[in-house]
Amino acid sequence: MDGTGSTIGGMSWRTGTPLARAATYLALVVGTLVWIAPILVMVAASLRPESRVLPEAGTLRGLMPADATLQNYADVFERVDFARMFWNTLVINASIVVGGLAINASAAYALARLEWRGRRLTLALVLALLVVPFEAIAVPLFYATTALGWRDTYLVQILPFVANTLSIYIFYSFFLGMPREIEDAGRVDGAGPWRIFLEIVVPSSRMVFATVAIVTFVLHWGLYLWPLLVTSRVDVRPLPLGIAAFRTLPPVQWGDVMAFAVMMVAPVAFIFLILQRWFARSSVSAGLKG
Amino acid sequence: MADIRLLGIDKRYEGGVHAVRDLDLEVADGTLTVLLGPSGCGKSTVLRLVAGLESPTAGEIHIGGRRVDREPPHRRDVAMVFQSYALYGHMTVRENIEFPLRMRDVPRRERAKRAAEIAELLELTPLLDATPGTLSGGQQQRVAMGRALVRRPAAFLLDEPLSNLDARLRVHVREEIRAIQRRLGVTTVHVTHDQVEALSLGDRVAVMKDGRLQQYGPGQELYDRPKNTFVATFLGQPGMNLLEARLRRKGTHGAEVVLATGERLDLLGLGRSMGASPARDVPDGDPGEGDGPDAGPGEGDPVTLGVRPEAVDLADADGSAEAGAATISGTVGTVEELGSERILHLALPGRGSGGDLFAVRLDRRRGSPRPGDRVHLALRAEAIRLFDVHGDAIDIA
Repeated sequence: MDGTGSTIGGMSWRTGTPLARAATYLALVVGTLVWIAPILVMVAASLRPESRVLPEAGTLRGLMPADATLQNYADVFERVDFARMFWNTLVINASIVVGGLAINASAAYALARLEWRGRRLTLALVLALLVVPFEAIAVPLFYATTALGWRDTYLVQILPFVANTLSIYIFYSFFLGMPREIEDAGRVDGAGPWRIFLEIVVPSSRMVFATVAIVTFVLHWGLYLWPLLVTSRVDVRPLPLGIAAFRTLPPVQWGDVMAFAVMMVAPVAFIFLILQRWFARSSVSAGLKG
Repeated sequence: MADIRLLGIDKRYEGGVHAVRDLDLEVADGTLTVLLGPSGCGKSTVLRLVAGLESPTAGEIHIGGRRVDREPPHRRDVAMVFQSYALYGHMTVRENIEFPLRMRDVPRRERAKRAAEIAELLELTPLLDATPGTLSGGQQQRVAMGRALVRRPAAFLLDEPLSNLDARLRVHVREEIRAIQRRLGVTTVHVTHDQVEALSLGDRVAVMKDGRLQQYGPGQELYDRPKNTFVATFLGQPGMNLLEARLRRKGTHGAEVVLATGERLDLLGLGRSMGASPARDVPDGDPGEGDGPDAGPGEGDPVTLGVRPEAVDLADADGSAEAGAATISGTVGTVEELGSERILHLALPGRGSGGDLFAVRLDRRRGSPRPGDRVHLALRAEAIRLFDVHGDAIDIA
């Protein structure tokens, strides 16, 4: 009778023979291990005295928390200006995310809801640009920004990524599916297009804003090619260039590299944890009777 | 407060849908007009045109004597309640109600005062700090009304506001809407596909079909004297029975018709004038048709006879009936028991078995025929309507 604890919703995937269920769980456990193992190895190695990192890599002993030390973390700060690189990456990414949300959401709203000449053509162009990889435009963009004298600035690392076709597309799809009546109500109540957008559409779309923010943040946190092209001074370079250089900085110490990696990954995980609760929530549905 | 006048309104959408055709409609100051019709008839489009959410392809819209068809919604001084209520889910009830005032830069203190007043009127005061998602359907509906009424609009537009409520609540809210509309004296246009709602709520009812106005007048008038067969069958549950017939003799004050089943009905001397100006205010699609405005059907021409299910009585077995009534006979198909009354659906001889059945509304005390019984029916002649081959009424009582 202890089956009463299982919910009706849970029943659907728990049907089948015990053997089939065991197989399902086994597959899930293996999958989880495959995903989580590199991260565990990274964290474990970062906490290990340097002498034991390589010999114990890949062994269960390497995952034990015995002799844990923060020495590797201290080493990172001692050997390179980690704080500076972290700050650079944070400023660049925050600007891309915030600027991107503003620009792409407004563009998508204009494409989804406002009537203007050339709207269809613009939409087609935006969608067509989805398939153009950044690498394809990196070189011409490099010449353009160099000609403008923007090398070694934050600006050159931010601006090319603010407008983003994928973000526009995500917003566009969402706005298209929003019930029009809420915006109609806003119009009748006396709100202009900007106020409807800012006071009604944006607050009702927190979920999609969070989604785009996470996607944008994660995608650009690891940006490597473009900063490599447009920066030469260490004081404007972001973390991915930093870890690439740090990996080969003699003496090569893998414990330090892992500590660097942990500190580089942590903000992404943190941002994700903060924003992911919005995934499940949408306030649009609250104002409408199903 | 203001009257609403639509003149020659036409609305075509880009895809080619002709939603509203040459519509003339006047809503007098302080009255409630219901736009009634099946889905897709253009009634909601008319409301959106008045609100300014759509612009007409042709025609003029006047509100309070001011032409507004090129004005944006917020300069028309109208308020609207939507079918989904369209409340702002991220705002509290208070913020929802104050929103239209805030958009008009009404000072904070004045906003609070008016929101409190309207909340009092609609019994929303305890709910002011709740968010719409936590309210019941009826409460959400009242919030939507409050948001619309708070800025004292010149006109109040309601787009099927009751369709999301359950049956019992619907009757209650319907009465509430009527009471509030009367108290505030605000000119109101209410869209619905529910004829009971239309007849009970509207000072006047406008029936639409395929983008055209079919008839506009007090609900009772539409029910009693439908101008065409569409209005006749659309209003009433069940709608008016239609019988094929031929005009046999035509007098100055009535006619004698012969039904397809052979029965002869004497409708002479009932104070009807034949042929003159039959329902000419119903816009006609084909101006080139027919014999001019004054020509009704001639003797021998086919006509359609309409009779409401309640204008029929069971006659005695020998077919005799009171004076002034004509009799027909048929076979009972099904019997619908509705508690206070029963509705017989009869098959008449000569009508195809697949065709519509002839409905009769009977008081429960009047016997209880069973399926298969053959019955004689007396039609109250004064309640019979005649329509020409185009379905337009040809008599004006």
